[in-house]
Amino acid sequence: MGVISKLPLVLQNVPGGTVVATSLEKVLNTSRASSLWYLLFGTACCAIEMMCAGASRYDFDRFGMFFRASPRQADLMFVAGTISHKMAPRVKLLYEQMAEPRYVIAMGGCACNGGPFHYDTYAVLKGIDKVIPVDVYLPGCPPRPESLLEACLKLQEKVKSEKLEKWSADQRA
Amino acid sequence: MLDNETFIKTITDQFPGSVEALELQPPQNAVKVSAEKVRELFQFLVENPDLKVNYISSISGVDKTDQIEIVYHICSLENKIKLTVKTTVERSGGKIDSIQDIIPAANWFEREIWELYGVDFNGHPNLTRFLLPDDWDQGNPMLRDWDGPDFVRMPEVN
Repeated sequence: MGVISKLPLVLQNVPGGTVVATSLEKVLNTSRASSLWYLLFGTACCAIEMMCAGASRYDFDRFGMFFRASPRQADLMFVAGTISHKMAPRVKLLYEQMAEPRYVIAMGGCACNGGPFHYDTYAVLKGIDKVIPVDVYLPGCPPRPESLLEACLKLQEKVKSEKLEKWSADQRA
Repeated sequence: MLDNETFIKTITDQFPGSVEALELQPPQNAVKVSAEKVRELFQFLVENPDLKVNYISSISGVDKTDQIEIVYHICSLENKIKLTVKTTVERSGGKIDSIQDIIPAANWFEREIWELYGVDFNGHPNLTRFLLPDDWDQGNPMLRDWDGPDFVRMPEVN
């Protein structure tokens, strides 16, 4: 973030600076939304659908989305599959290793609220939002690749609507 | 190669009174044995030159609410015969002899049963935390009356 997050603070003191700030915001948000690199991470059958969405038939590449095998290079994490209580701290660690701004899509019933494993289980975490913040919830068991694409478009909308001041405020806090 | 009947008969003849064959649809085979005789039975199954039991697929536990049933699923690959060995132990503080020195693959299965059902295996070298989280302190979750902090029981459906 560095210079860019400090920029609006400087610009708002300059006459006409806000015009520059909004243009900068638009450029920044568009580039962020158009290159959501996702973490190669999946724990159950949702991961199969995620792989399918990444492959040639549904083709994530046309949204500028590529899988990254390292959380350091990823902006987006699909929590694709059942997360057990033993796995939850590992998911949290992966999330913490991702560089900001970072986004999470809870893919499938298991990641949303435990799904088919909500009742009568000692092992499964009832929703990944108990461990890490979630941007988009995508129900389904498992969701089809089309719905995953829809979830990504929703996330792009969210990324595009973000304010530059928010990032500056986060930086100061 | 032995057929199913001879296979079961060889076992029941060796342990008269303590090993009992269960009536099942062929080609399923099952015997019931008392917990004290388990080690002796497995020693026989593995060492007998005709039976040639050489593979263990799994050990399962069943909570029968008054006692715990331990089910060994074993095979003789050369005879192409599967055998289920059932035995029961007490529900709280149940003890049974380990068979991991006879069949080494049983080591992890016994650890699993110890962890999930609380059954103690005498002579097992490493009964430590296995599948559950490392900081688990909520008892044995596969018991039917188990309850945990975020455990939700399935509502009754009419």
